[in-house]
Amino acid sequence: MRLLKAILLSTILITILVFPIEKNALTQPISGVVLVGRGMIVPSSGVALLSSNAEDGTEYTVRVFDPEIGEAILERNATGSFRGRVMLKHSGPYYFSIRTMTPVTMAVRIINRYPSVTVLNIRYGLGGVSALLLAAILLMEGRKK
Amino acid sequence: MKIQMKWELEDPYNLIVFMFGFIMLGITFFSGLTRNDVVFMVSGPDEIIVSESAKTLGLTLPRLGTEEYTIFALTGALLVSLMMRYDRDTRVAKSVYSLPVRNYSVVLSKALSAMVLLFLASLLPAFLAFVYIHGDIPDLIGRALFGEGFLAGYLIYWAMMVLYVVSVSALVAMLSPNTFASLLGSITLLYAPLVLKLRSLPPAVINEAFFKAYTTQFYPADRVVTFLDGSFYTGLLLPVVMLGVALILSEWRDVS
Repeated sequence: MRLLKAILLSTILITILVFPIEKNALTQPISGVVLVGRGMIVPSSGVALLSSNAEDGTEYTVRVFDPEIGEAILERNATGSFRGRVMLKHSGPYYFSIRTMTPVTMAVRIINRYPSVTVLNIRYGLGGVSALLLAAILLMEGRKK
Repeated sequence: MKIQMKWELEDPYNLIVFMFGFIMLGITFFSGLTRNDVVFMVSGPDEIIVSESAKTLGLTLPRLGTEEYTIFALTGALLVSLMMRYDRDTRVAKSVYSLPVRNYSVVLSKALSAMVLLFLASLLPAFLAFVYIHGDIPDLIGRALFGEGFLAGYLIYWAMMVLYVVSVSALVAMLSPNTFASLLGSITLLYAPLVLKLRSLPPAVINEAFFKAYTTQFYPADRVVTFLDGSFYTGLLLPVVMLGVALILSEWRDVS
């Protein structure tokens, strides 16, 4: 029983400590350069700013693919330069790619990073359930004596 | 033996060490995952991208880098030294070992309960930190753990690490004169491969075998086999031999 209590108490403490650690990490933007295709594992949701410059008249397709739902969340034909933004609704992998005949470089910058609602629900849920369980166990033990 | 294990698992001192390891490892895993900027390069149809991203996600499951290994080794050494040496120092052991059980069985149950505690103190926070970051992509996590065969390899990975740390500490605890010497000795021995950059001893050899197995092989069964093949001698055989030596020593050595 003590082992279970130790696990529950540690889970609660980790859940509380996770927030200040994450707050510090989320202020830094993530950036990367895409040549043909590049997958990135983003540790939070956020907004991705895409920008690419090519010679006038160069046609290419910019595509952002979300492996979780299995669909492209942005697919845009562009000529010359391109600016765009796309919401990354969940954390995890995303795949940025450019389809083109001539090489085009695209810069990706992820800003406004925040934990998604699902992740927050999981944290509050797990932390809360462990706190309630621990309280219940302590209460039962207190009543026995 | 079962009763002995229950004693050890409920011992407040052991549980304080357990909580130290659990919380510290959880925080370290979590901050390791937040500064993660893992990228993967692949091209092809969408199915290939999906499977590649599940694989890359599986490779970001928290493993033991330098920081994490420090806490892990410290927790393991503290646990084993407390269990095996502290009761001998305080003369409590005389009443325990005078029970009608063989010495080696008492020591084995202590080692097993140390393994259980250390395993729980590393696996639970690892999954907790992972879910606290990537909890909103259940499909990909399921695909990585089951479809790509990461769950089996990951459990084996932690089992090997735990086995290595506990057996090194157990051997040192059986050889050393008191708790302090046992703690210092086991931390030194566990830390030496890291400081001397020995690639042929754990943790490096287990880490490399895991990484190699999951990046070069394609089918889950092949991956697990390759992982075991790459880490068998130093990850399984050496610890088991060391644990055996510790058990034999416990039979020879007087309790005090």
